[in-house]
Amino acid sequence: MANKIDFLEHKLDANALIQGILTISSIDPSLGSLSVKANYSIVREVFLSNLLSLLKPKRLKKIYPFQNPTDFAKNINMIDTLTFGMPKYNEDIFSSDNLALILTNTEKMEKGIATFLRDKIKNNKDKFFIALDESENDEVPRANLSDYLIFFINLNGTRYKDLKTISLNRKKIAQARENLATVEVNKKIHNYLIGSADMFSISNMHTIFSTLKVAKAICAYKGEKTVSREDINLAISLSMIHQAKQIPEFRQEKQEEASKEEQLRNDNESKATNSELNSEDKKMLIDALKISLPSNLIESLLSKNSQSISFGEAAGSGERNINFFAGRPIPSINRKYSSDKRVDLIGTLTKAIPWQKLRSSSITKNRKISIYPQDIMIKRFEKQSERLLIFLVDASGSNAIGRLNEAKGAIEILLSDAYAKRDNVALISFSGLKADPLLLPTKSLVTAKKKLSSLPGGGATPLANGLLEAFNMADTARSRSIKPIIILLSDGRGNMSLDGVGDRVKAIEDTTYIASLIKRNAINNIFIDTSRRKTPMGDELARELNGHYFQLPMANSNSISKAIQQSI
Amino acid sequence: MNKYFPFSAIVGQEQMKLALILTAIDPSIGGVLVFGDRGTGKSTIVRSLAGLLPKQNFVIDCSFNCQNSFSLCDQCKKKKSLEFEERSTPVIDLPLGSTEDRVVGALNLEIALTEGRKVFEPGLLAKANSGFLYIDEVNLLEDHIVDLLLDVAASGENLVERDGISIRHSSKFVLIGSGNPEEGELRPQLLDRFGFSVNVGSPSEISQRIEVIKRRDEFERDPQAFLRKWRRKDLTVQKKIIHAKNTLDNIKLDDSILSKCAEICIAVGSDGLRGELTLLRALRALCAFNETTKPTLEDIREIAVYTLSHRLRRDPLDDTSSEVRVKRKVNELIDGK
Repeated sequence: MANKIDFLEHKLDANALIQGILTISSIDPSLGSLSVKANYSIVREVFLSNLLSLLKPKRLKKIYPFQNPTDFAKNINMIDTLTFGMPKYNEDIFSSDNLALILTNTEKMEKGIATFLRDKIKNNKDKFFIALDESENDEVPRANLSDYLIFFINLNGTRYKDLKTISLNRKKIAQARENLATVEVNKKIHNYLIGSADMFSISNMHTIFSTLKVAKAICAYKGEKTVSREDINLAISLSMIHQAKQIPEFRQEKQEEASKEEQLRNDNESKATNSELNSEDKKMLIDALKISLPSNLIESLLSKNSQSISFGEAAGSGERNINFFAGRPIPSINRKYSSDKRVDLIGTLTKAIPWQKLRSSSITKNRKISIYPQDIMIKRFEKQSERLLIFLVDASGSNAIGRLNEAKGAIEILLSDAYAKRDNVALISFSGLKADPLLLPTKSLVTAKKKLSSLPGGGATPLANGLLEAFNMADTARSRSIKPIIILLSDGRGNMSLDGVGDRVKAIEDTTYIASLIKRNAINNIFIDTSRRKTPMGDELARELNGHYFQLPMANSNSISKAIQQSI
Repeated sequence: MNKYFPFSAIVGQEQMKLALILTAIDPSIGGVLVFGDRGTGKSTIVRSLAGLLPKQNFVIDCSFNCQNSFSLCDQCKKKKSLEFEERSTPVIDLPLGSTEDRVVGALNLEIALTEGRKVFEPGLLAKANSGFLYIDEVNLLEDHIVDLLLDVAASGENLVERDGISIRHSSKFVLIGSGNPEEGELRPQLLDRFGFSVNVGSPSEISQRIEVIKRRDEFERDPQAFLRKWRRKDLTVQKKIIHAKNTLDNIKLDDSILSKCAEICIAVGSDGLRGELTLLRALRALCAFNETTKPTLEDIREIAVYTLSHRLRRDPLDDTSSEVRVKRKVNELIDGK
């Protein structure tokens, strides 16, 4: 019972989107790539099965986020080769036509495989890529993959009963395929397209060009000769809007407005301070802090920290992890072979040689040496695991006066430390009602610094919210086997509860709870207290976090230096 | 003949094009690093190189790309007579996530298992010999692969000691790296290996962007016709490259130019002497390409930024772009006198 939905007329809900996307990608097969944002749910499964039943691929292949690109190349198949005594190969899956690929958990995907797939998607001719993205709100899927996916659908919020069986107008599609080559685009449309891309700050020419291709396919489907503005508009909403970055001026205005509102709302809190220091002052401040903070601060704190936490840490606790494909080689072990592992040939032969006499029955003219699967030795490698420094900065009114700039200075020094270590950094600030992830994990320290210097101060202190945000980010990082470290710069005086109520007692309760969550999960943390003198609240928080604690007193470089020396 | 977008049809991006042409003229310049956002045409330009580069003579059936002028590999040394064929200059991709085996080469498992013989299966470094090696997202490359590349790039030779194999073959290539600076920094050692560093962005003018879209559209609609249309222009550039290669040795660099280059390098504080050397080589190649006999101050002005901007001792937190700093110094020194 197919429903009569026509994506040209219909509101673009999940059903109309499936129909539209499939229609367009059947007309122009180079456009077959779709990003599906949804957690695992019955809705997603039904959606996928609807999609696949219409797509009718000859083959379906799933790709998991931790696979190695070499798995997909034409590769020798070790087990079969040994069993049959002649070379057997895994086929190159990308050589088969009419193939649909489901990429699972793209938000966790490793760089290598993501880049490999991105290249395939970029030069797609006839395959259909479905990238499943289960990221939470604060997580971004590997940008270098999502930038090249043409369509996007967000299933969160779609209910099971909304999904309908849909059909494609195959006859019209077949006609459209023939007409596609003759579709014309005039200059006005080109202008319009570039103008719209500009409005969404899209500079990626691939996105712009594929939007044009989508528009052409729509035009062909309608049976028209030249692309109309209507076609372009539909194409933009299908394949461009989800790549849009905000327009800079607009965002700035919004920020200003927001901070103004906050100022008004929090009159009892101290007035917001201007975060902009002139460059000379900033330099002096940094120089002063440079003298006082030892250069290897993070390193020394951490090595102590990992000892002070008595809880057994989860897998990958050390700085190094052992894996089967990349890094520094270490002695191989006897394991079952699978395509994600690499065989240590010499080791394998050494293991097989003592048995050759016993196995002599299977040695023939073509097979000079007999190796059984249980002889196989697998290469192992050791890899330095990545680290993520999460800077959690208190930008509230109570902290802002005078302290915020010092905190910024301290972070800049820690950042140059991070540069030397090639760490990932993230930046979360909290003030007013909520915590705001200003910078998602990145290796670009210049971006980190830019974000930091434009950080405004003022408002209440939602410390609990900030800690929760940092905890979530740390947790996500862990699931990607990156070691997180939370660095909190605050006066520890939270006055905003998790649900956004200005209730001091509840706020402390919530803060303590989240802090204990961080402790229980054994996430390394450093608490740099920015209050003028030690407060019971700061003390309490430090105890609860069970990490490293020290104060950043008034800028007397000698005393800071001494204090730190003592605390280490 | 090739299915890639033609070099000459690419709109704008003149800096990157010039940098690639100069390294094609003189491979000892040492490679090009291209930083820019996604979708600015970085990889399109690199792929188009294949159609542009002049053909070279290679030994037939040699998997190490042996050439007449270069030192021969062990196999070719054993051959009684060498036969040559004309092949296009290789442009090899080094994908992220490549294993060490793929890069340096390894034991050929098939032959080892079936025939019990040790045969070396050449890797990407062999394929890229006397050609170009392209790494997309070079700033995300794994550290142990970077180490390998540094070693080979420095010695021009790939030495394999693994799986009971010991082999040595020449591996001289022009390294081209591209990446998005927002995703991470590049290790200074690797940075230093690149002769040029160029920043690319999307064309800022609407008219240029429209031209990009139009040409791409035309290309996809009828690649053959499009290639034919631009082939002549590509060939003109190719001829110029061949001509420049031949006249490279005739370019004279007099002392005034040498001292100016040294002055600039000292003024910007570039690390080591590689900056001067690259600058001089690049100047020579530029003159050969422009068919002049002597570099001028304007030539220095044009090229100094690309050869020096990535060699400054960097403060990771200083966000004034090093390009601006170099430009300022160069202008000061050239106009000051």
